[in-house]
Amino acid sequence: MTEGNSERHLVDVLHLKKYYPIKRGILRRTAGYVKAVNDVTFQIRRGETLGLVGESGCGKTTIGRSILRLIVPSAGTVAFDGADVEALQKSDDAALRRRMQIIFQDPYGSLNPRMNVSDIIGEAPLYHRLVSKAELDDYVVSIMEKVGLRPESRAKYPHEFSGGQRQRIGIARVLAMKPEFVVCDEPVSALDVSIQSQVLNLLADLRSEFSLTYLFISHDLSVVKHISDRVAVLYLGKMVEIAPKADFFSQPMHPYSQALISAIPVPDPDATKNRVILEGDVPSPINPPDGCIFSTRCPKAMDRCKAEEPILVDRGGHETACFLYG
Amino acid sequence: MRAIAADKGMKPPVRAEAGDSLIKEAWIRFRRNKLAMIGLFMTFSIIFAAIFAGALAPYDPKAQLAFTVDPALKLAAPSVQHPMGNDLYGRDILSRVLYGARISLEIGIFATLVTIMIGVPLGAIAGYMGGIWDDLISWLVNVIFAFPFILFVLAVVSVFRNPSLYLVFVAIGLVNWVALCRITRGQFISLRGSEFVEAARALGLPTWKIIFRHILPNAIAPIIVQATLGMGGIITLEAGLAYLGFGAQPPTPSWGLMISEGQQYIARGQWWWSMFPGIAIMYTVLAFNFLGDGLRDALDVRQKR
Ligand SMILES: Nc1ncnc2c1ncn2[C@@H]1O[C@H](COP(=O)(O)OP(=O)(O)OP(=O)(O)O)[C@@H](O)[C@H]1O
Ligand code: SF4
Ligand SMILES: [Mg+2]
Repeated sequence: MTEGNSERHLVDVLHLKKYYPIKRGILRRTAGYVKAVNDVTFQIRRGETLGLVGESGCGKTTIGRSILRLIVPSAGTVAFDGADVEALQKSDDAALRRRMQIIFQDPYGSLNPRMNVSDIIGEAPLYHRLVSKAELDDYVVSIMEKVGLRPESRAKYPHEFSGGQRQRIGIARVLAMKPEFVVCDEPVSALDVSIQSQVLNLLADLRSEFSLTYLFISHDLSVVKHISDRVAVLYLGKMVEIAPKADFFSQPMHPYSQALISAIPVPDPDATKNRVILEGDVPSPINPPDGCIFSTRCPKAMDRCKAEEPILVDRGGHETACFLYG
Repeated sequence: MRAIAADKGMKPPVRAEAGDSLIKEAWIRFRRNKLAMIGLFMTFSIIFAAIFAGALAPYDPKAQLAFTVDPALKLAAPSVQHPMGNDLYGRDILSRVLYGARISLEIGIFATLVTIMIGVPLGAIAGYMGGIWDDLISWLVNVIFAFPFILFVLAVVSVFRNPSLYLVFVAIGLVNWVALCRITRGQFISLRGSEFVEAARALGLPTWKIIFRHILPNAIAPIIVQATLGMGGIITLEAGLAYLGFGAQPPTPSWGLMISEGQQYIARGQWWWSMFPGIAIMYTVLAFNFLGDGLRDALDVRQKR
């Protein structure tokens, strides 16, 4: 990956917010909001893989789907290669759609059970005229070979495949669109551990073969460590740290990141590690804490942390939102 | 850079192995279910009777044999010549029951078609569009549900002096669509939020493809099941209407009409006039219920073998 700011970001997320209204009572009045994503700003460079980590419910999926405009954000903008993705909603800009795709977590729910593999992979490229009807079968075969599926099985239906194979079908469907950017939303969390690394390796191979850019979402830091160039940490809908992978794992700055890293199981039992155990539960995204959102669980919290909210500050490419650093 | 396109070399085309077709799998599951097979057999027997009533019936269902052949045939008990006996006019009850299947099925099928044509599109709109459309359609459904709908049918039918059977099934359909509408709406709501529909949107597929290729094929099974189960209800309802004097008019060999004509003779021990059409109705309702239950189990794709 080339350094330097002259290169335009492929994905530019600016002050993204998604609030889900909570409706109560027979009149369905709005009684409050789930602040699923609360003012998040970050960029993804062309060709890099940004790992997005955070606990369940912190807003990872909401961010991923907002980038593709599958979710309409409450505020903020997302630009893809300089174009506002709002166009996807207004005019359903087919060219833009094709360039950004998503791989889902659930290899069962994400494939239409009534369509065979050939249709699942070929429907969209045919519709968008990436291939002609005459070429379609060859095209599907070549894509299936790329993702390690037996092309002979293309007339079969999803339920005839294993979880890992189904995930490959999902990857093939995305690849057939010739995308530049792919949101991988926990693509291996639903798979057996033995199969996870195969699928991760496939994603890494495809990335280099087709110069793909990934937003790789996971709650598993070891998976993110395997595949990312940079790591972004989300907590309760807010970005708390973004850093190059090596920096992040050797010198995590935010106390939450430190706790997450210390919790990664270490293969060497002699390795001395100070595990940071977090107290308490994640607060509700309906009523996030005042000041620093991590202040209710932070082992290093100070008085200031309850009163003021730290903003994400860039220190030589390593961004953190924490008062410990000024 | 992107060389995904198929290699147009000398490579022979890659064969595609046949997948287990979904219909075949459903049939395998269906066949294993005894009650379902019984239901299917019973349904076929009714359809058979309806289609071939002309050939199967030993007599003309409207021939008043008591006047034309033998006065003793008036309310004659079941015999070898007339296995279900004869009615007041000497008409052969077996022949009338066979022809009755035709009436019942005709009403059942047409009323179900009306039901589907109204219920499925409205349910799909409510479920897929949501918002004001959903509010409006759901309100209408609730009103019709809360309303004693037999009165509605009676009101519609009684406006006409000599209501045709077609009017009856349109009236039944106008009321009965709400159950299908609810089911379709529920299916569309849950499928609209499913990941494969989200995937279709991410692929930039147009709304009509999402509805007809992705949602509808997955919603169709419960709709078929509900429509099949509803057939029994519609046939009973038609019989009830005929019994009350609406719907089929004499001398039509309608089962409901036959029950009502014959009921006063049951107390005198001449039970056959009402009893055999009654049994026919029961048989038909059971047939569609068994069939519907069997379809429900067989059509569930997610259910593994
Ligand atoms: N449609 C919705 N309506 C209301 N609340 C929602 C909706 N979708 C998500 N949420 C809430 O928004 C928050 C963020 O959800 P999101 O799915 O983005 O989290 P996530 O980080 O992807 O979690 P997971 O690891 O479980 O996938 C959660 O608290 C969730 O309950
Ligand atoms: S700002 Fe304060 S509470 Fe928040 S992470 Fe830093 S030290 Fe902890
Ligand atoms: Mg998620």
